[in-house]
Amino acid sequence: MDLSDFDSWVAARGPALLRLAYTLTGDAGEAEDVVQEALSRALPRWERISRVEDVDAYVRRMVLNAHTSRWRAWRRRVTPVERVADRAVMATPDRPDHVEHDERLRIWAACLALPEAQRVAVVLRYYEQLEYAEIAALTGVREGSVRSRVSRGLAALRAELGRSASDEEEES
Amino acid sequence: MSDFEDLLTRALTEGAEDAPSAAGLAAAARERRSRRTRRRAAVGAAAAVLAVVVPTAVVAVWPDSERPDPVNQASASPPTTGVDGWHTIESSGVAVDVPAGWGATEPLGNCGFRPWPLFAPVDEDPCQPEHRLMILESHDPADDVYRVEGASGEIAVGRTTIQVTAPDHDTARRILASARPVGEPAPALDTWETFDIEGTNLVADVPRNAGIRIDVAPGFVDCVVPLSQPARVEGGRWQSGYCDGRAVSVTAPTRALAYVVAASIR
Repeated sequence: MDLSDFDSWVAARGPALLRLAYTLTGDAGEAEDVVQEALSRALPRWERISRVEDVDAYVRRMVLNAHTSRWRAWRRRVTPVERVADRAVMATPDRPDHVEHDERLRIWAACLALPEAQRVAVVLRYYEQLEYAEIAALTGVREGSVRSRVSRGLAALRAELGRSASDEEEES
Repeated sequence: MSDFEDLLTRALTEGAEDAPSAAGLAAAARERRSRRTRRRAAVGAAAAVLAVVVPTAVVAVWPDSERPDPVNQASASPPTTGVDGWHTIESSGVAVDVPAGWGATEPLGNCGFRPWPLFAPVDEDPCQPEHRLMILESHDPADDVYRVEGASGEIAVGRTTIQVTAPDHDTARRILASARPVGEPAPALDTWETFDIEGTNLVADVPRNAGIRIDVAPGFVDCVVPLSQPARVEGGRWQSGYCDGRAVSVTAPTRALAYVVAASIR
């Protein structure tokens, strides 16, 4: 096993995996846990994984699987309630193309409150910028189901944020 | 993309910048892997102790024509081709035997995005083969399944799930029963027989030369589950149980084979 190759790949792609996991979970600790879990399972078979055509897609799928498994286990233990982003307030970036800080927090919280399947579909579509067919392959559901999940997720987000989001757009 | 969708993308992208640092990530993954290996070894030892204290009577032992000495099990067995053309494919840490004429399909991505390996008869449509074998990363550790209905079925091997659609039931069963981690020896699965389990009114489908052993516990048992998942037992072998008034245990050289034979009891 070429561990240095594994280390090099993780050094290059680990930050992107953590960002994806963080966007899915909304929690830094959970994001680290999900990515570590996926990479620990990739490690013993890294020689083979490193030969697949799209290593990034393969490991990203493992991260999604780890996230799904973790979420299912958590769901069995507790009753899900609406989650609220508990992150500390940060300084607003001084860039005109950045989303206003309060608005971003509201969007972030609204995404976390989406049902799991919708949240995954929305994050893969609008954060990872994947095509519907790619999301279908990654999540193991039909493309039509992905479109439906994204559509319902967007509708829920608009219902939660629509008015204020529109106001922000008009003001900008 | 609408204004709202664009706003959503920017909010998620900016929020993602608060993700934790990747410093030490590879080392943390390696440590987690080590902890899991140690934990599994402890669980396996406990399962072996449980398995040997149940009194049973050996009712049948089939010879093992292929299995090497257990101490050599860690060494990898190279892909082989049998006299009937069956051969071994390896992917995602799993080795599976497939019929003659089966092979890897189009490279990943050529038939649309597909991050998992797919094998099929080489003379079928490579993008939508009628018969196929897929090796999937399991979504959940609880997805520890064996199921075969007609010519289709699936079985879990470690963190992967093998799904197959074959031309007939016997082919599907042989493919699934052959699934094993890469490095474990391939059991001989070319000839199967239906065996009457002595002292019961049960039968089992058993490969003749794969080193299967069947035991029956004396008396009748109040069964909790009809089919138990295989557990590691003495000698590096696997044992699965069937229970329907009588408790039958099947010991086999691989986990999948123990599962398949136990599930065939009826």
